[in-house]
Amino acid sequence: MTAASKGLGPQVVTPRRDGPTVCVIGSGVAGALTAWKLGRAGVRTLVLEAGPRYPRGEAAQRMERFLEGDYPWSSNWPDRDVFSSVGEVDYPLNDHRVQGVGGTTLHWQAYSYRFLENDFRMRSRYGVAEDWPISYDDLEPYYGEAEVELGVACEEDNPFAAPRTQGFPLPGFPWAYDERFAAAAAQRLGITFHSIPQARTSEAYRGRPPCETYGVCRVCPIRARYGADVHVELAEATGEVTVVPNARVVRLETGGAGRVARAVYKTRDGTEHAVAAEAFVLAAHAVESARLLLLSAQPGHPDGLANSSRTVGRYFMEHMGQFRLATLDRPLYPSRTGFQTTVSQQFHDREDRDQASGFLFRGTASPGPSPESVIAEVALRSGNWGEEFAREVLERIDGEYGRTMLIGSNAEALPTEDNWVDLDPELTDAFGDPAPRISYSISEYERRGYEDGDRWIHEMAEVLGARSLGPIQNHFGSHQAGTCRMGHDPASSVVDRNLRAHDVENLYVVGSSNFVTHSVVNPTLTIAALALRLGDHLVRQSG
Amino acid sequence: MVDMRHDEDERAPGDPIDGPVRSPPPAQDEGARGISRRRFLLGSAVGMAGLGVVGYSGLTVARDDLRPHLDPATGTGSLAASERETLVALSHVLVPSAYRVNDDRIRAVVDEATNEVPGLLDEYRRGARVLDDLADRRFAAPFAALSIGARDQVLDSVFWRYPAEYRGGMEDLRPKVLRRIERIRNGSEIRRLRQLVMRDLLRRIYSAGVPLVIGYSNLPGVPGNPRDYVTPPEGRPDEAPSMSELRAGRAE
Repeated sequence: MTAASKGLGPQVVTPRRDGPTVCVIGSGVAGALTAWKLGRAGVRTLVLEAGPRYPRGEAAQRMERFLEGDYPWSSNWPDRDVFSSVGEVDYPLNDHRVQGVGGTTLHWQAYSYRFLENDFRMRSRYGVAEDWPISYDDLEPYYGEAEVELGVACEEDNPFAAPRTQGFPLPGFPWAYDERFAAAAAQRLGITFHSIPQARTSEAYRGRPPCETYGVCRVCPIRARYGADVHVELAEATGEVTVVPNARVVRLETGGAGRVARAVYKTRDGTEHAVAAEAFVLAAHAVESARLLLLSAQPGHPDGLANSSRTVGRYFMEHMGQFRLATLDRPLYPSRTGFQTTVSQQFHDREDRDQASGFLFRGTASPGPSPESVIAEVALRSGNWGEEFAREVLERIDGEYGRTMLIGSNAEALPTEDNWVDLDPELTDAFGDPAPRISYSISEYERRGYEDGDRWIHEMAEVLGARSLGPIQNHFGSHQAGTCRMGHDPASSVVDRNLRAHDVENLYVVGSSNFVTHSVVNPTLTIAALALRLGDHLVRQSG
Repeated sequence: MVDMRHDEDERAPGDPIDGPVRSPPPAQDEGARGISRRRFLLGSAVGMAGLGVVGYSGLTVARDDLRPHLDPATGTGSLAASERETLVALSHVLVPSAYRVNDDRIRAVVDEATNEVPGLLDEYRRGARVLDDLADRRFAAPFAALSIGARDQVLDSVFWRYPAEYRGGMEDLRPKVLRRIERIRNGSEIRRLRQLVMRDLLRRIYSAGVPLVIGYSNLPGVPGNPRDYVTPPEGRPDEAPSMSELRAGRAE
């Protein structure tokens, strides 16, 4: 039984001196960069993180675990991280999110795209969805700052990119052997491939060594691949920021006058604690941020906190991937890096984007039949050992392994009424709180984008001379957005252009949950830019 | 003994052997006249079926003996250090160094196998003992103490070498024949060494070193040249269009 359930109320934590000025909930890229900005400006900040801290000194052991098939970023508390899915898509929420100090950037692929100008004005340009309350120009300086902070490597060879006022901080990675075949095939179809911007060190950068192609980017042992734990450490080094891991915030309590008074969190043993602060920043992921606001229903906020618009949890968006595997006659030598180097944004801002989603287009080697299965088959039947066995295995592998090209697209989901996150009426987590319930279905707009993408997949396979082309496969769960969107109108959005809740003057929400539309590209650099912009805003407010 | 003549006598000229009898035989004392054709056929069928069952069972037993299985009831656990080193020594013969992970990784692979697959601990232990026995008989030394060449000779003394597939005129015939003769030739313990230990170790150690097998310069988890991925592995032809061709829009 917790202190609160005994009627004693939560224990109020005063982390240092006389308590924080700002309490940040979540230490992923959004929370980490916001806290870092605050700490650097001398603003006392407490960060509450639901997951554990993964010590930097254990990176090598984590990599070993990964190599042995044990995924080190899986939930360390499955009973707490339950959820349900009720839409067309059986949503795999826990497959890709990481709860821990650094958040999902602990294992992301580090592709760091800027949105395009039209991504922020889908309504006024194409008549679909809504415009953002900010423009690309508003965010451009923060995109530049985010690229510097994350250490983004890229060549300036993308003819479809939005204008930029500064170059990339690091030179790009050369194109991979296998991807050059894809780029050449695309060129014959009139499609231009270009480098992928990635938060990965092509040279030594700010104390991070250059990438040495360990080939296991999800557990990069040397921080060549950026993780937000970098900025958590920088924030802590300011002496103004304290991080409390394993602290799941379960509700925000108001103290009257339309302000949050304290964040109540629980530790693993179920004990409740509370933190008082002057301002609260909710940076807990598109699903958990919405859930926490809904869990914080209380007198004066019967539908949840900051939810007078009843849009908290609404307009949930996903960034699906769709692909086919083409089998070629030539070896492609896949998997020698943990990352892709090229892509095409040619269809991102397509002319008929009012009718169908734009999409990213890519081609990269995929291992196909695993070498392990070939080895097992030969081992079962062969009477050889030593060099003779090696020759047999090599011959078989050379003919079967590494001749598969993944050709695929990532389209853009628009915000719709059909896609949402709310509280499950039956399922509860380890604390007895309602679990998040997700409804996600693919819209016709998105589907049309994928159909167009699939036509190009077929064309590309033909140009590559593919022996066969496999069935469509979909990939869900890497990116979530929406649920606490920004907007000018308090009746249709949760936060304003400065990410402050319309209803609660000292509550801010930051992350992909703010997205009004998702864009075609990966969201993290935009999340980082929003967080840096919020940091500046909060510093100005506190000053 | 069955008297066949009675049935033959009852058949009229031109009747098919298996055709209907022209008329029912008169009721007689069976002991005096032997059994009827119908009873004979019935009895034969039953007898054949019985023989079939017995024969099949016998063959199954023999086949199982020739194709041994793990005994999961023997459980899991770790080998003694000396047993583990015998298997590491075996892996040096089975897998050339170019495709082999380092010995610590091999020890880890062996430990993982015996701790996770019920029955493998017992089998690996037996295998280590058999190898030591064979080495002792031939060289009066433990298997792990022998040179790689000597260890190879130990294996050659009991196993034949044949490929997984014979690519001559009669597909698979030669390896199949050799595989079967070898099974019959060797005793149970040697058979078990080949089929449950050597094959398993080959699979596990090659799988642990897959990047080496597929021609990559380094294993995942080991730093490499960060530009290796731009060209094919060493010794393989570079067929990709060059960056200058791509940049110039002239790639084919």
